[in-house]
Amino acid sequence: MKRRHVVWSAVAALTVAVYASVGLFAQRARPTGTQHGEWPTYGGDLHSTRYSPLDQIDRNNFSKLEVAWRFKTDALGPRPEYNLQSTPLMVGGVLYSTGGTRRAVVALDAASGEMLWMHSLNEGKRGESAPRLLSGRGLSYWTDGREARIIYVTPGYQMVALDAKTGVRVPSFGKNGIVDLKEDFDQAPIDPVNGAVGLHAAPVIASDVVIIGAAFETGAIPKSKSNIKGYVRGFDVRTGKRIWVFHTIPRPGEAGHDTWGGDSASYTGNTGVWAQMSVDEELGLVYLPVELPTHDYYGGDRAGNNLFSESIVAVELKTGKRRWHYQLVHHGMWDMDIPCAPILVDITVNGRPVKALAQATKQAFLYVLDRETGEPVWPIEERPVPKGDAAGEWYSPTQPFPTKPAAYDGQGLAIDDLIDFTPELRAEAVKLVAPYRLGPLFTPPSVSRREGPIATLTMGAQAAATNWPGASYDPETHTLYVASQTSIATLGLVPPPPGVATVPYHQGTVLAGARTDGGSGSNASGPAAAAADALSANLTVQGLPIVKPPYSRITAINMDTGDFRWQVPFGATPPNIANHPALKGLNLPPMGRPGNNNGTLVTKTLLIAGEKNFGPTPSGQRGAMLRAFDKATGHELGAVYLPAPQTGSPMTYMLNGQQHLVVAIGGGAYTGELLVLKLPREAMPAPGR
Amino acid sequence: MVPAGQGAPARSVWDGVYTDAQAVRGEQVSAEQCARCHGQTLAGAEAAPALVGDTFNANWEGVPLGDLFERIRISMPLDSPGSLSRQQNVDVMAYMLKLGKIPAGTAELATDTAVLGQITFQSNRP
Repeated sequence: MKRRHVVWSAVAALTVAVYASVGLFAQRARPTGTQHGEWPTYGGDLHSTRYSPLDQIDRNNFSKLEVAWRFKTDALGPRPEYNLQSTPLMVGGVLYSTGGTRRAVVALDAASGEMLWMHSLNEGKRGESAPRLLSGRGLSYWTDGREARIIYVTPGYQMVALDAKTGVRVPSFGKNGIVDLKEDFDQAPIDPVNGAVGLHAAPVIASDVVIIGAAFETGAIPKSKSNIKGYVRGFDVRTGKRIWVFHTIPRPGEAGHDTWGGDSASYTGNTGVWAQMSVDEELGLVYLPVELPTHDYYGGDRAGNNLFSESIVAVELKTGKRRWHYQLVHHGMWDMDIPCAPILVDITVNGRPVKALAQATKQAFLYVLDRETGEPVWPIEERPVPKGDAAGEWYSPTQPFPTKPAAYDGQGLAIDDLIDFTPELRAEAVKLVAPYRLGPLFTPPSVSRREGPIATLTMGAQAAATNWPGASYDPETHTLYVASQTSIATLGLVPPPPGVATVPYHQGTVLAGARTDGGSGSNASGPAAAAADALSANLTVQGLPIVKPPYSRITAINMDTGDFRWQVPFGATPPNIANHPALKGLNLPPMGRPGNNNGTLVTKTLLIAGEKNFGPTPSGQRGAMLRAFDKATGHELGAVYLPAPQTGSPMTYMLNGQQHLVVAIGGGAYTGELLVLKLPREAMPAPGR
Repeated sequence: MVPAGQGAPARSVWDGVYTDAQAVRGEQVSAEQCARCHGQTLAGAEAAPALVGDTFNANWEGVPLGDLFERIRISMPLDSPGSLSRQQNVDVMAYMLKLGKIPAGTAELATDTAVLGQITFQSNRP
């Protein structure tokens, strides 16, 4: 059996010193992925690989995993939570996680699950009216070898520093352990209670700097073209003092300001970083995946390309100064954002070593850039895209299209994408979409009209392909694994209900009305229920998804060549599809399970991901399966029963000679829970293997 | 204590378990309380899941309506959970069934969790 690696901060410091002193070659050889069997940061490491070199759990024993312990989060807040999205951390035998409806922090004995401490901040109305409620996605750990801290952001946008040993707030940090993130934000004062800004991502900490983004209410139905700006800030991890701020919407005189028409840079908001970020400590750069500006589907109040929206921006870790940027979407109106951390990958392209980053997206492109310069690794071409019909809108004539890798999930929508199990189903689908506008990726939202188009229908927007769980990467084989879902967004624009908003459009359709609408729809002739019967926003054909399967998939991409190694449907086909009367007697392919994309974990031995929705499982029990795949082929190697679907992303750690696998689960009527698995002794690999 | 409805024959949502009038009431509640996040037709959006369609169906297939009712009652609306009456919650559920193209009947959904527990959610007509 392998000896457990003892963690000494002195050893870690020495390691860094050695790498720093022997130059580029050693840097290239520096291992990424987790070390010492720990999981010290949200993405496993600051490169966001979600890779662990642990190998005790493997293809021969995965299905034998059993519950080591479980932790219910119900009582961490005033009521149970059903959507626990945390990736916990494990450092020094302690598991740290956010949880519960008030976003409490817990420290648990990683061997038994016993609670060591719990911290919770009752923010009252500030917390209840926050734009991003519930337990968030995680927290951060920091140590200088002497003291250790946990840093997290509350629903009400306060950054809290806790002593990792005791859970007590650190008095020397901010005001009694708290920094009010609504202050010192380089913009007009923000109401401390009702100012709608927050953050549900885990902060990232590197080189003693805490980097904090911002998240807002979802932007389909804004009241105004104006909103709080999502600047990014760096704070001193010891004092909580702000060190730098990066203006994601440039101020007058700053680079990129001229990409905003009129004075739109002054009033437009959002443009925050709500996703996780990645850091290259050797290059001293933090990579910011920036979302789109105010109004997810209408940009008529912000003519121009709108830098640095929907751009990856590399800023200096210590100063916040911009080194380079690359815009993925000009003048966005599809709510593409950039939803997850770019993964930092050291690859070899045509024999040349490249320090690159790989960005998974909702639009199913994986953008691959040189992370030192921001130059595309494979050409990204500006190509003409369709225009729309919204009054006052400004349409970018072109958008960037990566030439490699190929799109890994659906984009746009064409008749050929529609369900075709039988000619009858196809005909019904064609009829259903007839009053809508279809088109390629970047077809703009349509002003909704009863005579048509009702809306634009498109894949690769809003909530499609890859979202916040992101992707993962095997640094040994240079393979990136990305899970994605195939889903259609209904992008229609209608006038907001009278008196509700000062923007000309809200997302909605004439059949259903705008999303804020308190009545039966702006121009609808009857109740929405009746309209939905005739032409449903629920775009299904006899209850079947309107697009061809697979409905969700995992793609493995060779990052040295940009080619797919494999692509497989992910998850069991739901019974309401598999047993559908219209499909009786057909030889159906595996279809995957509809639902959001899944966070994946890569280890030395396996690719691991859990299903995102309930279904029947092989034992007949209702639940979901946590599945392990062959990294080289995508073939399933084993599966373990979960009583509820995966809601967070899996992580793994080694403790007392045993590899543990943790997944946050919940949903339906099942409350949020951390489920921790390990092998029974008899199933563990023989020593010295 | 014997929960009301115990011993009643098993029913599914396809047995005409709500009324059109109840769904119309539920639509009003939904417009005021649910649509902001879940959309006017409850088809979901970025931050809130669909309450109709494939994903919803997969998550609630074979589950008693009582469980769905309790989930809504305990956790929704997200910014003021527990603020709706039992009647409002069950009316929203009727609206959800209507949107799911499950036919109405002549009796309303009851507000008693145990009674709702006797009705199974099924997305396809049995």
